[in-house]
Amino acid sequence: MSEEQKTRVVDILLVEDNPGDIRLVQKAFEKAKLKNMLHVVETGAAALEFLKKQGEYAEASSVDLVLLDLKLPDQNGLDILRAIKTDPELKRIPVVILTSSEADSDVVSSYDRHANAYLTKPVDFTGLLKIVRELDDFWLSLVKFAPHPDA
Amino acid sequence: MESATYAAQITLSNNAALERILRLAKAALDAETVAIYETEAEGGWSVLSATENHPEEESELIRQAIGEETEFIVPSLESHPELANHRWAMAPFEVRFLAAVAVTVGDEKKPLGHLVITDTRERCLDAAEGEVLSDLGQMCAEIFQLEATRATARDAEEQLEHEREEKQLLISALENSNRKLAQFAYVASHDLQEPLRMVTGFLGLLQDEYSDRLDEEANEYIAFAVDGAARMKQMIGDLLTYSRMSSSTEPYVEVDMELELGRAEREIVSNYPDATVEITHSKLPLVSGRKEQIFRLFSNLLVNAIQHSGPSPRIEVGYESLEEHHLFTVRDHGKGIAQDQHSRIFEIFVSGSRDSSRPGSGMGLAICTTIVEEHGGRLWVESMPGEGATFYFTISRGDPHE
Repeated sequence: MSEEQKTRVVDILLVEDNPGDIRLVQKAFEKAKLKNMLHVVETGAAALEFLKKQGEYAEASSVDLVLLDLKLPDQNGLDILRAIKTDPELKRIPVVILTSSEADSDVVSSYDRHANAYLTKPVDFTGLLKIVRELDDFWLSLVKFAPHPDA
Repeated sequence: MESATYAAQITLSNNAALERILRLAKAALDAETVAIYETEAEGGWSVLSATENHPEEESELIRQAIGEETEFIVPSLESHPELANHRWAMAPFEVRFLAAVAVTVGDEKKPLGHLVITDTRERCLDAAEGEVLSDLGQMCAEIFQLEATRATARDAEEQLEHEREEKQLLISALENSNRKLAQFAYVASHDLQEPLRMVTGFLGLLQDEYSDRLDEEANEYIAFAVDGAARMKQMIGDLLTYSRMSSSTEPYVEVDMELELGRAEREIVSNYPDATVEITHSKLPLVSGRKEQIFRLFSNLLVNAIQHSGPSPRIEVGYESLEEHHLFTVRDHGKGIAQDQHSRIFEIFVSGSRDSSRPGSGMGLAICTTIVEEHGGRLWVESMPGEGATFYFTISRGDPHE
């Protein structure tokens, strides 16, 4: 990983509509003392707007990693996943599915649409903390991201 | 016999055997015409088989003439003048000679039919010929009886078919009901995950961040809530697992029992990092089964053994080859199970101790039972308090669903 990536703040977009789950993830990031910005959007449409820096998100930062829930109020998360992974400007951004479903069909559909990883939301906070720490160890410390198109 | 004899009515016509009797009667008795009548339920007669020249239009007259007689032989009108006034005698009736014998079966007095010979010539039958007629009547009776037996068999077969259909319907209904139940269990437990996550997650955070700011009683309240939530989590997880069992679409493959036991062992070790568990096993075979289910079976049995053992559990897994099954044993040296609990422990949500610090389930053994039954086997235990417990389970050789 480049020195630059180590020191700069990593921008993560959480796409999640359940306020309780949003809070838990925010808390977990806090406790894991991660140096990154956690942006939150609650609908699939808002997620795409944020990623493409459209509408109210015109000034949004470039996103390094997306945490995507499959159960969204306006659309199926799988469709958002596909939209990201087929967009030439967005498809390089790693998308990690973080959802409550353990169903094989959802796992398969996600990987079919080129999700980078699939995680099931743990029931307790300790489990979530573990996930966030592992996220940090792997995605945010070891993995190299593609440079942003505007960089 | 009664219902069966009337069932014979429909089927005897065109019977080759009856035609043989007609030919015999014609030949042996030099009869002009021969007919075999069947008595209908309402009393009328119908022709089952007759020679071509038989005066069918006179059937009713013949019937009336014979009436209730079981044997009615008229040598000639001349010798029986009392019949001169008989309607039959006065009708434009060509028949001058009529001999009939009733066809009866067993002790049944009511005739099933009649064998009738007629002639336009005046004649009579001698004793020997009378006997021949009688024998021919008996042969008719035997055919009637055979046909009745066939009819009974056909009825029985229809009944069987009907019962088979009903049984099939019942099975379908049951399968449907089971499917719905499994679906319900799945949906319920799946949908319960989210609220459970909220409860557990935020209780955990509460404990984490506020325990030093709350008094002892408040912390106790939280502890009770956390404990309850943990048990709820276990139950919902078990329900999910249990509901998946019956709708499993996992294929049957060759399963290496030693491999799956090893996997279960490793999971135990990671879940019970503080325990020193010693698991030994004899040589285990390859069986035809569902890999993931077998893994869970071993998992649950090992967890159960550990839960009932002291600080250093020792578990032995054994195998015996039976003719139609594989027999496995999982033996522990724990506190044992009282005789009156032996069947209770396999029921859903029965736990030996309300100790939530030991994850593991009220449903573990119920799930094991379902898995074993899916594999065509049985699960049972032999144990005495203080002497550990040995769980036995069998797995069918070959495809359990054949």
